[in-house]
Amino acid sequence: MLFNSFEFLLFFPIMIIGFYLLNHKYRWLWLLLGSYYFYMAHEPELILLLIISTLVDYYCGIKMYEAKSKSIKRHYLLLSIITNAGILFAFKYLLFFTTNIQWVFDFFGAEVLNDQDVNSYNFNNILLPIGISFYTFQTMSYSIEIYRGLIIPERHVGKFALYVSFFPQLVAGPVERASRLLPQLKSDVKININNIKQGIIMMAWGFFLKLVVADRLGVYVDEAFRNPDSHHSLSLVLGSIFFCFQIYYDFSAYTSIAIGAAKTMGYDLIQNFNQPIFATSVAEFWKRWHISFTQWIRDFIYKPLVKKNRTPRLLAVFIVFFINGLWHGANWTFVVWSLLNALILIIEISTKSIRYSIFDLLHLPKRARELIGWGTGISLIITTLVFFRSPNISHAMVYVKSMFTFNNSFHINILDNYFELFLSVILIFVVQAIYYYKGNSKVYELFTERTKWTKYSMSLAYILIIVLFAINRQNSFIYFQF
Amino acid sequence: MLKSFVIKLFIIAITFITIYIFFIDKLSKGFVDTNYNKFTQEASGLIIGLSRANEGISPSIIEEELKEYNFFNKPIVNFAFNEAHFGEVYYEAIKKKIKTDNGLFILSISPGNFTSPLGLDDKKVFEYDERLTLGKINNFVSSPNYNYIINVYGASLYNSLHNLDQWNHRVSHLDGWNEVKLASKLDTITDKDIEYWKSLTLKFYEQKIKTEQISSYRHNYFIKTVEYLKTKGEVFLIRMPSDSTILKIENSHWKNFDFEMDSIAKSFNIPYLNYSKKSNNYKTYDGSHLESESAKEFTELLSKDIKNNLVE
Repeated sequence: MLFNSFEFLLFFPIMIIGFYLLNHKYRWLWLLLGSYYFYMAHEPELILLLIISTLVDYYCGIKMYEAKSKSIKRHYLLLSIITNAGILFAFKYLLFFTTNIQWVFDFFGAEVLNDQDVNSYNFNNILLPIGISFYTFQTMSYSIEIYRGLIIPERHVGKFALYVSFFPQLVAGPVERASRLLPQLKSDVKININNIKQGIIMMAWGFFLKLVVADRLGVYVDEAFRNPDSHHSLSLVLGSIFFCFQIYYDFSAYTSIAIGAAKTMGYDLIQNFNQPIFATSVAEFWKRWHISFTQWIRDFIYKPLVKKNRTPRLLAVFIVFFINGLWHGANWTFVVWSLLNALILIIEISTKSIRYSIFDLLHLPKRARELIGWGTGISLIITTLVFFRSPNISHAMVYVKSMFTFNNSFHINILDNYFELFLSVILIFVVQAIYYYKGNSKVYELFTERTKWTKYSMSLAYILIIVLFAINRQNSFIYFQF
Repeated sequence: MLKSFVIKLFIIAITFITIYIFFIDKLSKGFVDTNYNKFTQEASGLIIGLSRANEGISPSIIEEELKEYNFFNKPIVNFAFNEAHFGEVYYEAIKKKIKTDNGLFILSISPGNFTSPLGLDDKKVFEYDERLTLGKINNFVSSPNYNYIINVYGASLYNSLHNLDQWNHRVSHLDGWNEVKLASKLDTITDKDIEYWKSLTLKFYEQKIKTEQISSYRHNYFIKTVEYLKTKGEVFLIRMPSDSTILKIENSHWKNFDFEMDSIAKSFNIPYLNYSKKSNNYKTYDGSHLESESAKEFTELLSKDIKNNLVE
């Protein structure tokens, strides 16, 4: 079910009313059933994968905790990881893997599968379960944390199932740790008007970001990326800038709605963004972008690689970014995008002392250094995102090449609609100004800190803006596909 | 406190719904989009096909040319547009659109009507179609058609505050025909523009050929559609004129297309009128779609051929 659908507008109030009407003892069941319904609204049969993942991790968690020896613990951890990674591989990467294997064999002139074999597998018909990368990573973190002795397992299978499938963050995160979310889901939440207000305002902000801003930018981006070689350089530059903001606002919108929905029930989800566009370096950008996931990767892949396996840091960074790329999708475009970021990150870190020496030599003040860092960092991030958005590498190369081939044309109005273009730019400035002053997590203060009549006016203005300026497409969120 | 909060939420929800309905209704009274007029009336006859038919065949000219004869009932609606590939979704929409038994049905066909994205089986092609315009709505005949506006209209509702098509060269007629004029109040499409757009169209076709396949599912539903329409009136298969380079690309994708279509037409005892060989007589504005004057000339010729066929 999409947050930006009419179904959700009916589903959500029912969930909230039911939640507060029910006794604390039964709320987990209500939320679990609601979460499964929410998931099944898309592809009902794929709920089985979620249930398998839940049951295996529930079982492994208890067995790991009860295990006397480290080796038994490790066996159960492996079972959990193989199950989750196996599901992920089978449903997300199998086609990608076989295509690439076949390509390698073709390259060397060996026939590994004939056409009939390939057709008989019919990999194209394997459905990609929505949100699979999110919930498998969330449940894996649960198993790893038990293995490390950081948490104790949840004995109540229903409450554990709710942790895995909690509907606000089920399909696109934030990737929550059990140590944060499970205790909250088990606590007896009393009705609190301020929580509900805060939650609704965060959700309203998310809907504005998605429907009015991200989807609007997406119209221009779609056109720019459709035929990059038929557009002029400047319009492609603008297309890539717009895409950077589109994906940020799209994902940030989802996170705001998820955080808001959970808040109305008294639960706090982790904030996924911390003003990433204002980051003054690529390293800082990655600390501020998709925080729940980058922390996951840092804690469960990077640190063990460096500290336990003594992998050289440089190699560890490449491994982590390779996984980051693959996590986003079974396509080399994501891998190239992520590895380019790794490369930039390494260059940035290794040239730090030289850059600082030059800055010192030029007596550049802190603000000027930050500005240079910001300008360079964001330009590189925007350029690499071309790979993220393109359907394949050659398309991305055409885009980048055309983007950097200036042909004395200042034509940027590729939609033949100056009003929409102007509106898109204005909206980016407005959103960034709000994020600059309030951060990503306190946007609700824009509303709560006002007088009664200002609130009424703001509510009416909000309704008019959504009705008149929302893009009426019910587009799914970009991160749903991951 | 809770009570007053719930009341406020309720008032906000009611205000939202009221304002939303007001602007949906306002939009329906003006220009919605280029396809909206295809979904606002029941039809006795239909023009079926993709964008070439959408812009190249005027139902009112056919009605006018054949008004002396009582061959079929009216109105004829141009129900062709660029997402209308043969398949279950289009088939069901056509069934819901037709109101009488004595109609005229013109199916504009080219290899493009039979393509689907590479690698999709029948079920996936159906699901693909369901996500497009025809799959999103279940009402094809109401005026105003709120079902269409809510589910298909892809822009913002502030457009209800003006009554303009974004592209001033296009006129969207109430019978579903989208006429493209070379000269508008503001500017004229020059030969240079046409050459440039043609180069884009060619690129599009070259790209499309790499990512699309001829689908047996679409072929089966084409047969099914013809079978159904035969029970509802007179059916004509036609292939429209287009640019010779584009026709060449199409023909290379499906080598015996004209022969196979002719055979199908003969098996149903209906005419297959192939105008692709007369492409030089008409002018397109982008290599693929007829501009206004050529569309009118073409529709007149088509009407005469229909008349000749029915008189015979």
